[in-house]
Amino acid sequence: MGDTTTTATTDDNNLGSWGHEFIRSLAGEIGQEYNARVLAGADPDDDAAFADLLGMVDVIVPFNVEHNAEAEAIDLLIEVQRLKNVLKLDSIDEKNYKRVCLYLIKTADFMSDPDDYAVSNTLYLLQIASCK
Amino acid sequence: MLTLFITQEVLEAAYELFHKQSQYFDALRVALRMGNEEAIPDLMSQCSDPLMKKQMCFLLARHRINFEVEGDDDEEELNEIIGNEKLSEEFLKVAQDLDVTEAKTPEDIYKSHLAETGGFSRRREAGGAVVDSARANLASTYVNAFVNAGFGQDKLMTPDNEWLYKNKDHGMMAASASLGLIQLWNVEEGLAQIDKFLYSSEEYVKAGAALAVGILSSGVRNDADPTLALLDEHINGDSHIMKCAACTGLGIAYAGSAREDVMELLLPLVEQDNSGPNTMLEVSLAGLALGMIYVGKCDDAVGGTIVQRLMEASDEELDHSHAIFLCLGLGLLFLGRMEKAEAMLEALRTIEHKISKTAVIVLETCAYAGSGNVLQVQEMLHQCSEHIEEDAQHQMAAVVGISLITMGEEVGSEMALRSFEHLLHYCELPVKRAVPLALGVLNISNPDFSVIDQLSRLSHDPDTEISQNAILAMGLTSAGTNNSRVAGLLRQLSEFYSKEAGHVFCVRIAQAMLHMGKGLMTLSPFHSDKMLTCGPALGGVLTLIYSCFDLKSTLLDKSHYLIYYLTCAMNPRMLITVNEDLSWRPVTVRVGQAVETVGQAGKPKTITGFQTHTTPVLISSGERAELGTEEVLSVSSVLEGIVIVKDNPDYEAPETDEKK
Repeated sequence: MGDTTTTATTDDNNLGSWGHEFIRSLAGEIGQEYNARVLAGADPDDDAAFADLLGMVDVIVPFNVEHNAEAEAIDLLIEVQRLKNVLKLDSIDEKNYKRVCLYLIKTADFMSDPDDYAVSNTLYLLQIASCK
Repeated sequence: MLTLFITQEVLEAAYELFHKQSQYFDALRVALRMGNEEAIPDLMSQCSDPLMKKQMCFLLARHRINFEVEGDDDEEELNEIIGNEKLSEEFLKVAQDLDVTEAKTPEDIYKSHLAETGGFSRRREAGGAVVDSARANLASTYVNAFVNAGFGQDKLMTPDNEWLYKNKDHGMMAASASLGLIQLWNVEEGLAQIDKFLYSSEEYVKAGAALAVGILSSGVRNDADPTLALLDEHINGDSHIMKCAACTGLGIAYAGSAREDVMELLLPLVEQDNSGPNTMLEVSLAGLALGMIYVGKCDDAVGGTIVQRLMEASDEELDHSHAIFLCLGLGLLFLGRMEKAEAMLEALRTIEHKISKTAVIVLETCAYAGSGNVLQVQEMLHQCSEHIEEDAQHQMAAVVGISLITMGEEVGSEMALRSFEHLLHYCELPVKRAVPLALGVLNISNPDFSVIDQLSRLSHDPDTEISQNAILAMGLTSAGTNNSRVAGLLRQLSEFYSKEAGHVFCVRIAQAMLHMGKGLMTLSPFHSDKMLTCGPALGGVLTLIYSCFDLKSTLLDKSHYLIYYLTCAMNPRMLITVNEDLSWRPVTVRVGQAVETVGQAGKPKTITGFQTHTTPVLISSGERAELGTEEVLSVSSVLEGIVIVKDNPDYEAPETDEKK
């Protein structure tokens, strides 16, 4: 991820001018970067290791919620394991809570159990190893 | 890549959001989905809107939660709603409105005059094959009971006692128990009718009556608590058949209630070990009843007792055809509770008997029921891959388990359907025999075209058990729908198998399910927009499924009364709109195919291809309703069952309307 984008977004709140497509791609990159750091050994519960990423998340999520992209906002929060933050959002009101909750309830079906995840991840690594 | 999140946390967030918006009804739905029953009292006390409270109680009633409201102004009324005390009244009113109160006879269902060979076949048979009239009568008893369930009147049992004495032994028991199903939910009137049989000199009639009392009050709370009062003495009595009936009756009546007094009554029955020939049957039935009563509650006392009984049982006891119901009881105890069953699983693995494998799989699949856990599904498929022809009961449990795990979630169920196709091609007989059952579990009360097609093919399989299971599964998938296609198929099957008593019995039971409650009921455990799974309902269906593993020694033998466990799954599929005082208020509603609206912006339409009706209406599986008028607002966010509506304060009557 380029350094320029990092500074640009955290400093300003003029996300709209960057275009929604950019926000979407940025959100994807944040997720990837977050996962890369966790795999590299960072503690997911420690905010300090992800301060730069979470700063951007705090800007993008409210922006998404305000612009009818609740699903994307939740996806990003799930990606960075900070779903609890959804409760702190002021932009969730009586107009959009139904959509947010519906999305949460439906995604719940597809959540995985941490143990299972560990198992399937090891399997995946094993398969990659055997391919080489 | 999915990150380390678990279902609970996501639901927790949704719960908090609803809570913050004071949407207590929706918060309650999420809480029930999480299995978090501790939240109920908080939500009830925080909610200040009396109408919403009532609506929440209707939800609790449908979910069969035994919750007592305390310290509320409307305490009595709310408890009445949770206790389903008015369910019978409302159901009968709907029946009247739809003009289906007229009682139906089994012949109305069989329609043998439509069969090509009509009256001829029977005359020819009389000389040749032996006509199993006892079993035919038994079948008619069940058909009569299921078709007229809840209507309070029929043409065989209520007019006089003649039909009862046309049956023998266990047939008599089924017949007198059928009174309970006919009077379903109507405790007071039902008791008056059953009372005379409770003191009959005939043991089987008395047992049936005891069972009837249990069936009658399935999911209904009554201050007098007649079931416990009347069955108490029989549990501790000497008569084997009375004990079996009382266990089953208690299991049906108190399913999901987690009543401690009932548990204390049943526990000694599980613990008993005077090795009489009938002991294991009693132990298993008591274990099953406990599982039903404590479904999904993970109770230590119940779990510990059942596991210990399994571990200490002798080999002969575990060889008993009904031992699997003891395993099922344990499974139900942990229904949907996932890793909470871990400790029990370890204990079960130590049993040195082939039942150990079955017990482990039953418990595992019950615990992960509805979770859609892919790794569990793979594990079950792995079990099926072993080619064995004997002692393969665990494989059957695994096949049904795949359905159990994936049920309720569309993508998963579709994938499961595909793997069943493979199982049919590549696996040994025991696995194949369970496939129709698994298809049934996946589509309860949902006669999907392709599934019925598949089952219809399997119902002509040369293997007796595959075809019998397929026939019963057809009944299960079409339960309470009056689906004419299935009706036609079953009629053909009754002719095709006219010389096989076992098959004919299965066809009759399937027909009984198809026309259950004259098409006003469903067996589906899913409700509230398919978000919640009702534990007792799923347990009832599973009891039927597991008895199909060995039809010869269950339904086709003496313990056919296990079919009555389906009562726990029976629910009216009606939508009624009521005023604030719970009197009927017919309004226009649109009913159509439900559309998934998740992730869509704005206010997307939730149904498609709708028709406009005036309530009350029946809602089929996969359908959804929305209000067709702006005159009223509904208190509930989901239009199912009994829904309270109130006047819309912003409504302005159109000026052109001449009536106003």
